[in-house]
Amino acid sequence: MLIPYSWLKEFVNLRKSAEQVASNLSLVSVGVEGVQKTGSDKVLDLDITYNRGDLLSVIGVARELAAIYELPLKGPVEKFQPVEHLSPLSVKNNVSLSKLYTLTKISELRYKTTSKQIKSRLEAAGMRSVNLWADLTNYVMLEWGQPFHAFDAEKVGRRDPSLSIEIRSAKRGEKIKTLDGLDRDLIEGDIVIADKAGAIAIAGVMGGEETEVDEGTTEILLEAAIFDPISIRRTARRLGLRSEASNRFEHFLSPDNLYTSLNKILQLYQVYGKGEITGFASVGERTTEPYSVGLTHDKLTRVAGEALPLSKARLYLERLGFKVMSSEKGLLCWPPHFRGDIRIPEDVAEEVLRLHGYENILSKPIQTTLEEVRESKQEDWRDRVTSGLVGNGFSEVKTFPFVSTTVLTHLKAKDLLRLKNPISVEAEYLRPNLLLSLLEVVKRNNPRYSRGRVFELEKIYPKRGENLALGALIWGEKEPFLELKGVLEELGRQAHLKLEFFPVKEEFLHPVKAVEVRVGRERIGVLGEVHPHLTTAFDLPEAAVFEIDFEKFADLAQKWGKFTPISAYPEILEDYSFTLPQTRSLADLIDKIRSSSSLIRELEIKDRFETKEENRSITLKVAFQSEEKGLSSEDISPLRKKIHKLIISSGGQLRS
Amino acid sequence: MNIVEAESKALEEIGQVSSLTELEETRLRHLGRNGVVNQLLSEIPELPRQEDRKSAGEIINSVKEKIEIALERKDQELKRKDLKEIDRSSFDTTSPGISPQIGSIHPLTEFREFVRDMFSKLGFEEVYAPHLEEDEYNFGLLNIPPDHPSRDLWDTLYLEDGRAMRTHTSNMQIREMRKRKPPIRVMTFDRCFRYENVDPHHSHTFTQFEVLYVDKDVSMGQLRFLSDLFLKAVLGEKTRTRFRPKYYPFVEPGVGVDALCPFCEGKGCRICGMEGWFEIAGAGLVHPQVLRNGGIDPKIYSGLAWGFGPDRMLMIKQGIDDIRYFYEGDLRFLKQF
Repeated sequence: MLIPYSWLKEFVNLRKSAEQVASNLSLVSVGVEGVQKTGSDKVLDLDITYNRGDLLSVIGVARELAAIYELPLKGPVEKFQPVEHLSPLSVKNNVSLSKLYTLTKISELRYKTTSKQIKSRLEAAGMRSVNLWADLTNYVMLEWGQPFHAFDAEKVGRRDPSLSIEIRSAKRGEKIKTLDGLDRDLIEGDIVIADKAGAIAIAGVMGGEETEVDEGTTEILLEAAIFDPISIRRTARRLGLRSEASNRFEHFLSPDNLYTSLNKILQLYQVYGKGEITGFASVGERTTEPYSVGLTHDKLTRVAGEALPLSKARLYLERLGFKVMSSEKGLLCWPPHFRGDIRIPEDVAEEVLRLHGYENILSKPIQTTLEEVRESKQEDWRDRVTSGLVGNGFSEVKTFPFVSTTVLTHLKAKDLLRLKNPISVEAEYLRPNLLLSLLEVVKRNNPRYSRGRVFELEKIYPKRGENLALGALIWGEKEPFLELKGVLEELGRQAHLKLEFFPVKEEFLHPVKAVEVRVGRERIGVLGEVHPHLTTAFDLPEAAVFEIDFEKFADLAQKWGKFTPISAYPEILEDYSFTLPQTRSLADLIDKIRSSSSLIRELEIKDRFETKEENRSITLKVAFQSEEKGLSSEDISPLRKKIHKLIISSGGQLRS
Repeated sequence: MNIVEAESKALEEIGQVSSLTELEETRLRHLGRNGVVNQLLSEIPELPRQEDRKSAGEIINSVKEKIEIALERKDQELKRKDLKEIDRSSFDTTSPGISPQIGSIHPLTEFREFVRDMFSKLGFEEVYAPHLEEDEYNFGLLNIPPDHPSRDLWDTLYLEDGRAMRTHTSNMQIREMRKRKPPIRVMTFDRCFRYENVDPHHSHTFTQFEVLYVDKDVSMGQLRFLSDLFLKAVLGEKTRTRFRPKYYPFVEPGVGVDALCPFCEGKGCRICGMEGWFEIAGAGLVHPQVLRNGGIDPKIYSGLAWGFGPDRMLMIKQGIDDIRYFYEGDLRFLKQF
């Protein structure tokens, strides 16, 4: 909210600069966005929080400053007192829609242009001048926080000579042409002000064009009301008509303040418009029944963390307009009528501490019993896997949780979670996997980086539920599938998991170079080269990717391995070189060899040449070792023959 | 060749040797399996007389010994010479090292580990809550009923099924309170989402860190303690903290935590936008109604919630001028960390 500094000074005798005042306000009351110079004045831009609706007015901020600086508040405080001879007006109100509705008839008005001071203040506060009648409502709203609406009484009378005003919920299909000339469709739940001919205003949001005040207006029905904040907010948002007035209606408004501000605006109508008050009606709660909130010394101490003297607390509260009674245990406090936010002892304690100064709150260390802190497996493995991948040359990325419609051709929309209110077409659907996000990362970096390794450990949102996934992608490497498979196998080894791989058809993966990753019977993810139709679409080099369900992985992972005894007898090493077609499984052959003898202690691929042609050459290194004796060449030769046979029967060809 | 010739030839050759490899070759030529000395030894059986065979054997063996001694001496000499040569050799030690092929850790992950280490020492346990959340946990049970005007504090993204993309990590509060008994000390470092266009200073996806501490006698004093401790650890000893009133429906009192700009020490500079202070964290004492919603009796217990935005904090600390770098996967950015 924008408040001209000179306006504040009308109510409280401020001697400090606008900047100093702004700084004090921000430390004690509400945020200050800034202080701007306009002409000879300065304007404070305040960021009023929901709980402090009372500060959406010059008077409210002046009151707050008076409390901070211990200064008296100037200006009028009388409430409007309707005199006896006023003619009654017909108003039908529903208190669930409007806690208080008042209507005042002002007659014999004579138009005049708005004074320079009022105009310039309205402009400084960010509002524009319309005509005197409307300007006065806005002016008093800015000063007192209570919105008003002026109807041209003559125009209403033309529609409904009985001037029967009703506050009601809009009917299905009801329409109204608002001040801005647009036809608005209303729905049930919108509050309208209506006469017998229909709606004449959308309560708290905008008046109707048909009953608008103008320079020719001589008689006004002036509305001052408190509407249901939730309904006002819903309607204003739906119609895109949020205004200074609707904003104030969304906050707490005080009936007492309504009567005070009504007094003020009627004075102005009399001063500037020479009008005469001829009718009045009021339906609803005219004053707030005072209520008290108790603040015990114990409570105050528990909030502050230190014992503040109650006498001091009492003074702070009184400065803020509370009525306070002291008792042995603490204070009984009656909040001022304009503070709708004070309900519980904690609210009162906050008031005391604000004026005491938050900077004076002493630091107090945490003193507590030490409890068992459960170590989360997921957390533990998150760290281990991250450092494992970083050690293997991967850069960690974090990407947005959405998939853009540019990749939608590769996805079926019905399989995705869609946002009701997406920000843009790029962020309309939630991502079902990490692959597409990772491909976008490659696209961003290629060809600046012609090869690279990236991974992400983040949530994905498939329809079955959100899931923490680990995705890794490499591009521009010679054997992407085998390189990445090696990385995943290593992660499996660190987690003491036996990962098994089975060929699989996956939409996004290469038709042949793709596998499902399993631990026992549980599928934990997939690994494969990215399908050529995707790499083409993204204009990327060959890439391989794996994506695993990290929640499952971490759950299955074992931190502690088990020691296998190391034999005291020497080992015998043998190399086996052979070729094997790509149609035959090397993993199967290795498994067969490994299980062909209990004397095989270790088996590893010493060398391999995976060509694009069908045959690859492979050299396996086998370590034979017994736990009972040193092995001789007689022990080895039958095993060697067996291995040779296995290689041949698996479709391999021995090389000399 | 006779034995005398063999001896003098061997000793001469050894004398001329200038490297260890040459010396080995020379040894093989003379003492190897097919060397001169073995040749001569193999001829011994051809001698007709027993005495001749015996004395020839003795002579050849003594020659062999002499050659071995000469070889040994030469070997020592050459090794000494090699050591001297190492002294004279040169190598450019300023040449940059060969880079290991390692990747990079995301700055937010690095920061998460830092923050987590710090708070786990104070006994806080890391927890997670869903990103796609029921309205109740994100709003309702935190004192923010539907259509309540205070919802304007959060521009929310909703799914078609009615769930919200959580707007803050505070959706963990009720879940954790219902799961645990005081004292409760939990923390979370995770993503949140808002309806916001992406620009250098805003992002619809961002990160929050939040702690929740529920115990007997939790007060504003401990909020100050945590704020001081944490902000000094991150921004350095030169910073100070300050509280301002701030409204969040789920705390009472609510405070905004500012940190004194460590770069200008409050004088105002480009980094803090001439303010002298950074708005860093939001905090407060858990609202009694929220405690009750979490199944905790506010007559016995009180709690504090304290949170900040790691993206913004890192931007300040590391001089990152655009929040989008965190989420775009640009290796030119990532490889700096």
